[in-house]
Amino acid sequence: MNTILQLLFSGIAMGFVYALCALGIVLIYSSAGVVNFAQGSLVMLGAYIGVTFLTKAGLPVILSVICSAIVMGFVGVLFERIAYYPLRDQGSTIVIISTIGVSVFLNDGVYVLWGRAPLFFPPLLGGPPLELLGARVPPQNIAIAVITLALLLFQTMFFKRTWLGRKMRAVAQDQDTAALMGIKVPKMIDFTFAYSTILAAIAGIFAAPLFFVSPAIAQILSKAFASTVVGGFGSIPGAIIGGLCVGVTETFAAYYLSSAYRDAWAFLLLILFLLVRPQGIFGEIVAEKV
Amino acid sequence: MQRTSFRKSIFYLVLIAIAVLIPQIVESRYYMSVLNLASIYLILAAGLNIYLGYTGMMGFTQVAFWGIGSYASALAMINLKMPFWTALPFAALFTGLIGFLLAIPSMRRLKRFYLSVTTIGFVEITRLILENWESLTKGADGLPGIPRPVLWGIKFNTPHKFYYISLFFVIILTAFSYLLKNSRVGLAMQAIREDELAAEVMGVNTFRYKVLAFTLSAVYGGVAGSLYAHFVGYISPNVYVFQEAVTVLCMVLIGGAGYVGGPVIGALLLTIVPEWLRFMHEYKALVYGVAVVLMAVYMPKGILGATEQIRTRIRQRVFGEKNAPVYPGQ
Repeated sequence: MNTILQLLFSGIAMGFVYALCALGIVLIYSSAGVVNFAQGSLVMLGAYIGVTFLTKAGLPVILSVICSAIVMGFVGVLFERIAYYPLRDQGSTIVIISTIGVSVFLNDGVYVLWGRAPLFFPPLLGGPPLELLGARVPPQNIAIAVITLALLLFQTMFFKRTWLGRKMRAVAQDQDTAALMGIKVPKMIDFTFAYSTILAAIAGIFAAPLFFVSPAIAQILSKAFASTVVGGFGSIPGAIIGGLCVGVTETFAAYYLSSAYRDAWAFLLLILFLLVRPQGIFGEIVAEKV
Repeated sequence: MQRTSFRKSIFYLVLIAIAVLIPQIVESRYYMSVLNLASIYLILAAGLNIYLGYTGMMGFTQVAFWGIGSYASALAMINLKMPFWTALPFAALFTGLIGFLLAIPSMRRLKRFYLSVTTIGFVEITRLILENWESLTKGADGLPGIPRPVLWGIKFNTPHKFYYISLFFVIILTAFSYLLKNSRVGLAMQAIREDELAAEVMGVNTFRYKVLAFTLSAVYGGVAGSLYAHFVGYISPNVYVFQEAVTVLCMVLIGGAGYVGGPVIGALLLTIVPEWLRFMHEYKALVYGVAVVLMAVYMPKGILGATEQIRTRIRQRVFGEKNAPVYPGQ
């Protein structure tokens, strides 16, 4: 029983990291209509920027999280201006290709700025593991869960209650109609990219103590893709639940079945969903667009 | 038409003649190795071109087929004592079979993004199997001592000699791509690229052609894998990583997806130019990344697409052909 709870808790912590990355992908997809293949690399960049504020600048943890979120917000807008905006009318394949270009650039670019050695990132919350329902949970995992849930609550309020959030949702629903209502569509897309990149930064800071800060973090992208499909591609709650499913499945399968194939389980789950329920947990069956 | 096609065949013959003469001119073993690797990448890219360029689908599987082909060929030669000349077709067929088996469920069910994600998963799972099936593949240590090809008592054990084998397959497979492109099958594939629904309405069995395109790209990957295994003599799972899939993708896109010459130009450019940029060797991927973004923004159809556009524009200026016809990729 204890083992099961223990695995469940660490799977959930991992799942939240996937969920944040998947959420960024889904938000960009719903507002700009493109699949961002650079999201994993943005997560990685977030971790690098976080570690810089924390160890080089010596800021306290909370302040360095906030500073890197702000910096990454601007990076997101820059990214959108380079890789998406010039290509917005050219169809989705070419945008996918340009985001792949950005991700190749970032994965190698961090070596120029930060060197080849992986950097150490201390856990957000140190200290001995806490007892929770008889399982031992590291404080780091509790920090991940609390911050993510707070963020999701904030996000729900923001999209439901504020004008900016409503405008962003309008753009995601229908760009042309939103434009007719006087909403500045490019600006809203800027905001969406900025917010998605901030989510990536936070995912990066969560992932950093687990992986070390290195381009290996960018591989989170494929798990995040699996999460979006499992949850239902394009759905916001789907991205979160999908991320948790992938994280938990992976942790359990790695423990009980085979840890050598740890990275394969997410894809087997994905394939299972594609065969049994291709629209994902929250997806609707959509007739193909003509 | 007749005269242009005659001029074109002269042009191709001259290109082949130059390619055949290269080992006589280039003495350095190192540069010949680079050319061999360029040929292997060329075959990988040509395979991806059928899938990505002709049929217009996104995927990253080429690197997994490369790995499967390498291991199939090397193990056939080591464990089954096959000679190279049966090991290579064996590897190509085996990889093609795997591609076919993967394509049938994927092409029936998956569209666009779902397909790309599944192919990423396939690359990852292939690498994990190569790494963990230790009794067969020797795991992460890799497979050393893969024998070199021998034909009529000649051992192809130097880059100079091996180059002729690589060149032979490059010519055969590029010619096949050319014939395919202008055939009925190739036209059906290109119709799918332009508009899948319209193609379906015109009576093209899109499912069948997509499976065929995928399988053919797997066969190309298998040939490239076999050549790689016997050229280098040592293979290990960490050659066949996702980054290589991106490199091959860059080659097709930079050369020009959908053009027969696209992968040729892309593969030669992306393997030879980095050799000149030696001082940047460590940051090769950095240059690739910038190049791909610039390409996407300024030359979305690659080098061949851009030259075609320029040629059309010049023709319009000089000859005043206001409506000069454009034949994409001819």
